[in-house]
Amino acid sequence: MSVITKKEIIKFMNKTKIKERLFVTPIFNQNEFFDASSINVRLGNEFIVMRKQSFPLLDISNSTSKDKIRKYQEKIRIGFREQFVLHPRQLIIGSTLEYISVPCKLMCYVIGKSSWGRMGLIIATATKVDPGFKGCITLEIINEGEVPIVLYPGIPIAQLVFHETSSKENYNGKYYCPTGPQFPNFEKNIEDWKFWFPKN
Amino acid sequence: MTIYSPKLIEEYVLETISRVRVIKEQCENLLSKDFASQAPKNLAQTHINICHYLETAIKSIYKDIDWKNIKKIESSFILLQTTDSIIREFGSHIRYIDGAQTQKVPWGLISPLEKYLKRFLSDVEILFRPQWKYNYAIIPTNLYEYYSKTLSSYETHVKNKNLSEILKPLKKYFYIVSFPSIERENILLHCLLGHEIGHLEAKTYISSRNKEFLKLIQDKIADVVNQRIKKPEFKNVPEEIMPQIKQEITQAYLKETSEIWERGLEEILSDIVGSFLFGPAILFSNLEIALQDLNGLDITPGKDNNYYPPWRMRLRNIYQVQRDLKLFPLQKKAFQSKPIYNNVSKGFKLVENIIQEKSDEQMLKSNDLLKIVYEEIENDLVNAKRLILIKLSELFLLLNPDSFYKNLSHLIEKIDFGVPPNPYENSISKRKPAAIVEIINAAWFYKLSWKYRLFDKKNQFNENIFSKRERMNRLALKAIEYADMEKDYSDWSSEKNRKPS
Amino acid sequence: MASFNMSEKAIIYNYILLTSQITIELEDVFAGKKLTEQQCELLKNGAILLSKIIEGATLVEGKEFKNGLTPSMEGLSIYGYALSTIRELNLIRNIKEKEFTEFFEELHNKIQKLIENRVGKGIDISLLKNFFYTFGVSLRGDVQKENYPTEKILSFNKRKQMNDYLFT
Repeated sequence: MSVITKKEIIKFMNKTKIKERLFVTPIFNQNEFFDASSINVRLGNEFIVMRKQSFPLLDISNSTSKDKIRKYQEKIRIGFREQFVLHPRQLIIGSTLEYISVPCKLMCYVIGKSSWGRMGLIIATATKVDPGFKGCITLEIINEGEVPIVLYPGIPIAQLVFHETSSKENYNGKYYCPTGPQFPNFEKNIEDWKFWFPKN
Repeated sequence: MTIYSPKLIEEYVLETISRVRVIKEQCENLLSKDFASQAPKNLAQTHINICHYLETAIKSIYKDIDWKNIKKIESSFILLQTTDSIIREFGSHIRYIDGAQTQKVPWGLISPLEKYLKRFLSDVEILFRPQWKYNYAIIPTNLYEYYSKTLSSYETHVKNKNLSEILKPLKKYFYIVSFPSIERENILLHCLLGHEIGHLEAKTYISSRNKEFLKLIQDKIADVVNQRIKKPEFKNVPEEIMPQIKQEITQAYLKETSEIWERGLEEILSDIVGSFLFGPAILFSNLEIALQDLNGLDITPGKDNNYYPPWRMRLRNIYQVQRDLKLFPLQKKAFQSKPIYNNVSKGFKLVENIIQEKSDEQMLKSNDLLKIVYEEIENDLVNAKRLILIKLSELFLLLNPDSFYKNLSHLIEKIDFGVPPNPYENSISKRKPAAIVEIINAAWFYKLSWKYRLFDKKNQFNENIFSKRERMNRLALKAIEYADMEKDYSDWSSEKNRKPS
Repeated sequence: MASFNMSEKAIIYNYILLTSQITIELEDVFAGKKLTEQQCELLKNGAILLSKIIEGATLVEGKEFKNGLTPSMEGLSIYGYALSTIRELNLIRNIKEKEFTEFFEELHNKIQKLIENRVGKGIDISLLKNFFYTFGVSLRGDVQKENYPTEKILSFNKRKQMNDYLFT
């Protein structure tokens, strides 16, 4: 299915039936919000940062991995008009400022804005957003550049490109209406993946 | 070695100054932390200044000791002890600053709540902080005044420092409002902070009526005391000390009666202010808190319960405000969803049934002193309510049922669907940020509309209801934050467009 | 005394410091020294404290308020400490029924005279000194109780008794 353009995006945002509507909130500046075939989203102000000093390795086959992930990663909040300095090779988990509700007939991809890319800032590695998803989209942000980059919550950071799906699908994922970045969650998959882990 | 030996006093002074410096250092550390508003940092900076001030005062008091006169040494030592007590007292205030750090508060709520409440009390700065004690509370003492009054005694000892400079970081009206830490994420109960702010308005009214009340009860208390001293336990009191005993009993009765009046009136007036500010949400959240009270709805106001008026009476007054504002009965046309209309109406009806019983009023009438006091409270409420209504009207803070209920259904639908209840939007070109009052009430109405059982037919505990509740709280909190941001951005944008380039 | 809130505490602290400072300065007067301007300012605050006590006494005795004094909660609270002081100094026998106001007015006149004359000749400095000192002791006792409260024992009977004391 082809990418839907601004006109179609607006149609989906104006649908009367709540289940069919594409919700994006908040919207500050509609001129800045819409591109020809995408919408721009902003950087949220909650981040998950890594505490490398905490322990040597992250092994999801280990049954205590959930606790270990919490030791390794810490959620912080940066106020608006405050800086967050991302150093070269540093990975953080952020999220969109906006809360999105994707109707069952649409899906989207998160793509970093090229201006940031040219500075070495990679915005999203897990880019697909399923039909029916509701929440703030988690963004894996890494500085692949040579110099530290200053980030400000609220600045446009990425864009969402929408496709219509061939049929309606409901979201069945792990993350339930997230309102900020989410810690990685392997719990749902671990049982199914045990085949691939060493036998203890 | 006597307690007043120079060596002992010197050591005491050393330790006192050490305490001051520790407090200063703690505050300096806290200045580097993140807070949801400027208030905690202002308080921290003020404490740093106070520490400098008190250290100077201690040194001055110590240097002024006349070691030749034992009485003077004793009194000087009392000055040092009292100063040390003040330092320890002030040091305990660090918990307010520490508790207000971003990760400990529902930070998305703080700024919008501050802005909303400041429309009602414009010159006031409020520090919101969690406490592990389960209580929504305000320290109704203006901290600026408290520090100023306490430190004013040192002006003779600290000549080169101006007290107003020391307290400059604090606004002239600074208050601490606390909420229970375990309810941090519970958006539904946070409207109770409206009641806490109401205390400030209530105190203003009470201080304007204090003198009159004391004059009013003078003779009545005198009668009560005269009856009291006729009792058998006073039979054997020597005649020469009887005047003293009578004075003490009269003073105690007058003080106690005033406290009952103040506390009773203050709580009910605060309920009324909260009720005007937050609408039905306050009624339902107060009902929830009332159900927690082990003493029930008709507790006798007394020393043990801090002279709080009975819950039944409080609910009655809150409910009446909802009727005065015509927020109840609900407007049927505003609610397309029957479950919402029916269940919320049932919620109101439940409160109606509770307040129809007059057991609280009967209890108060059965006690002579309480009867006197609560008759006065009834009279005061009529007057005070009228004044509050005028003030809110002038500030455009009165809830209008037509506009209030118009948007509510849409917001409730959004929560139910799993989207933050902001903004109110018919289409992308017709968007209006929801007000904090609307969002909190939408969340309440949504919760009241649930049809659920804690245990299903197979007697399994229904975990889903917790997820639903948790989601509702998160979405409502997010909506409040978004609405505030959109409004701020809109104001900034308008300002930018107005300015010539 | 009942435990107090923050604004009462500020007043209490203020008065503890004031009474200690006055006790120090009255030692000089007792020794025959002339009061300085600064010392007089301090004693004026002492006179204000006594005015508050008189407010409380007037209210309790049901008398007419004079000299611009009015009923006040502060006066009422402070008067409780003043009564404690009278008891402690064993002055009860010197005061007849309904003459407590006059007693404190007398004290007030003494301190005013001292401020005017700047010397203690012809004034009972001892009584003033003892009064302010003991008043401070009374206040300090309550601050100490407030800082280190004894554990409450939950008892149905105890609660009933407390309410009975006041409300029967």
